[in-house]
Order: sequence, then structure tokens, then C-alpha cells
Amino acid sequence: MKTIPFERGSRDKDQLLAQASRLPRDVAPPHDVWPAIAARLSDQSRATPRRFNWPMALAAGFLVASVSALLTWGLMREPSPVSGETMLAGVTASQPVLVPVRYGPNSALGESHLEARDELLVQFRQRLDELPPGTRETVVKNLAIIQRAASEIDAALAQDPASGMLNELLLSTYQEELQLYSKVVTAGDALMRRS
Amino acid sequence: MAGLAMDSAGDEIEQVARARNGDVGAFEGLYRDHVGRVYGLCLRMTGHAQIAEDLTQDTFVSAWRSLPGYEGRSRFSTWLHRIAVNAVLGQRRAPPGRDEISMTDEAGEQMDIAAESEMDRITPIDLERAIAALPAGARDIMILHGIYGYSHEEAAGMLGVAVGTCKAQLHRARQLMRVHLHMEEGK
Repeated sequence: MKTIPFERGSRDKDQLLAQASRLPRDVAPPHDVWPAIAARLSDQSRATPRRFNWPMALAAGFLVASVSALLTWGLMREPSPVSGETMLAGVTASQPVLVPVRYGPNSALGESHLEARDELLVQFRQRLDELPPGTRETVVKNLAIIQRAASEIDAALAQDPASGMLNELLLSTYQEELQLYSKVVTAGDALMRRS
Repeated sequence: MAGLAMDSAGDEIEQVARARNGDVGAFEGLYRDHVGRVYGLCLRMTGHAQIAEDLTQDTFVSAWRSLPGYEGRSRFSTWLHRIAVNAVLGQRRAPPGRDEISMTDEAGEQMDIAAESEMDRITPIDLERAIAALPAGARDIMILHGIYGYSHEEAAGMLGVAVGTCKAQLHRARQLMRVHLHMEEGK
């Protein structure tokens, strides 16, 4: 088997890499991008420098995961055939306010991510009303925890916007939010079938 | 020459400091100095001019927003490139429905570029085409290491992968490029 060295300097030894290193590094964009950038700068809030507590962000991530597991357990053990009347009574009781997760200015989730979330959110809201009050409260608490994780990660991204790990954490937090909605929609369907 | 380099580096440090304090004019200066490299990186990694332009825009907007947190531990260009690479990776992670950007898939299919040159007649265009036709992972490391000169450790940090993965991807990139460029093994 042939071993190919990749240490520093390998670019000089390898003809292909040597040629690649001679390619122009600068490529002028077809248009001046600055006017569009300048127009966006005034709308941007800027990060305030502060020390970020990495363990807190990681802890928030783990908390999201464990609470999500608890929610699944809670939904699965949801008692008992709930009658239509009981569910209606639950709806009229004072309901906790549901606020979807807000991702901060440093969290580079694309429009398509938020659109996908909003679509699921519509179904989620319909089903949420059909869940027993206790479960609804759990869902709201879960959302608060996910929000805390998202805020921590956003603060960390302000310090290190290019961190692959932070961006993975952000994405997994976003996915946790979607999974939460999805679980509620599925559980709501199951309750409807049982009643 | 060394004096010029020192002056240039000193100017940039001052420009960065002014931009950190909200001086848009200083930030425009940084943009002018770095836009070519950022756009080149985005263009090569996405293979799509319009998307590269959008990502260039996003990179500088994100840099402006995050500048107060930049502590100068890495060179400004390295910091900026990490933001650009991250913007590209974020764009790739977008759910289906957004513009597709990849010219190839991970398995290296659709690698139907014309690369007819013989080894001794490889032009920069041939090389660019061969790089553009690589699967995403191999292409990223060929661009960052091969063209922009980042070490495996630096490239791995930017891409969020292990150093060993970078090395393996570079090996793969070289093999695929050799096939496309009709090069013999070992050249």
C-alpha cells in the first residue's frame, strides 16, 4: 500500500497541490456587493463582548435532550381515554402562553428553516389545545428550556460565529424544537383516535 | 518589503479596531481588502455565482455584527474565512426547497466535466473544473488546503471535522482529480 504524506509542505511536493496553490485566491464578484451590505448593517444589532460560559451552553443542550425524553415518556403514559368533554374542559382552563423559540441575531438559521418551523407550528397549535392541561404545561416548559439553550448558543455565536460546534448545537436545538412540535401533533392524533 | 508588510498589518489592526467601534468607513476598507478572497472561497465551495455573492454579503454582515467579540487571537482574514466557510456549510444544510448548489453529490456522481487535457497541458481552468466537480467534502479541503493554504488542523477547525477526515478527503480529492485530469499516479 502506498502512503501519501500530508504534512505541511506537501503542497510543494505534490504537483497537483502545487498547481492548486498557484490558482488565484482572489476572485472579484461580478457586482460590487458593498451597497447591499451597507444597507443591511444599519439593521443589525451588534454583539456586546462578554465572556461566554461554554459549559452553560453544553448543559443547556443536554437539558434539552433529557427534557425531551421526559416529554416523550409523559405523552406515552398519557392516561386514559380522555373524553371529548374532558378535553374541552381542559381548553377552557387558563392555558399557559405558548411562545415559539426565538433565535437571536447571531443564529444563522435560514428563512427556509423558519418557514418549515412555522408550518409545523400551525398543526402543533391545533393539537396543543386538545392535550390535557398537565401535558400542555410540560410542553410550554420544554419550549422555555429550548429557548434558554437557543439564547445561550446565540450569545456564544456572537463571540465565535464560525464555530462548527456551536452551529451544530444551534441546529440540534432547532431540531429539538421541531421534534417537540411533531411529538405533540402525533400524540394529539393518537388521543383523537382514542376518544 | 518587511516594513511594508508591517505597515499593512498595522493598518489592518487599526482598521479592525475602528470597525469594532462602529466605523462603517473602516469596515468598508476591510471589505475592499478581503472581498475577493471571500467571494473566491464561496464561489469555489458552492460552484454558483449568485449564491456565492449572497454568501459573501452574509459573511460581511455577520462579521460586522460579531466584530465587537473579535479579540484578535487569529488573523482577521482567518476569522473572516471561518465565517465564510460556516455560511457555506449553513447554506448546504438548508432544508430541501432552497436553491440546490452542489454540482456533485457525496458519492461523486455527475462528475461529467470535460477534462481532456494531458498532464503537461493542464490549465488553471482545467484545474478549477476538476476541483468544482469533486464531491463536497473533498472539494472543501482541496480549496482550503490546496488553494488557500490552510493546514489540515486549520481546515478541520473551519469545517468542524476531524484532522484525519481532512487528510482522507484530500487523498480522495487528489485521486479523483488525477482521474479527471488524466494524470498518472504519483505525478
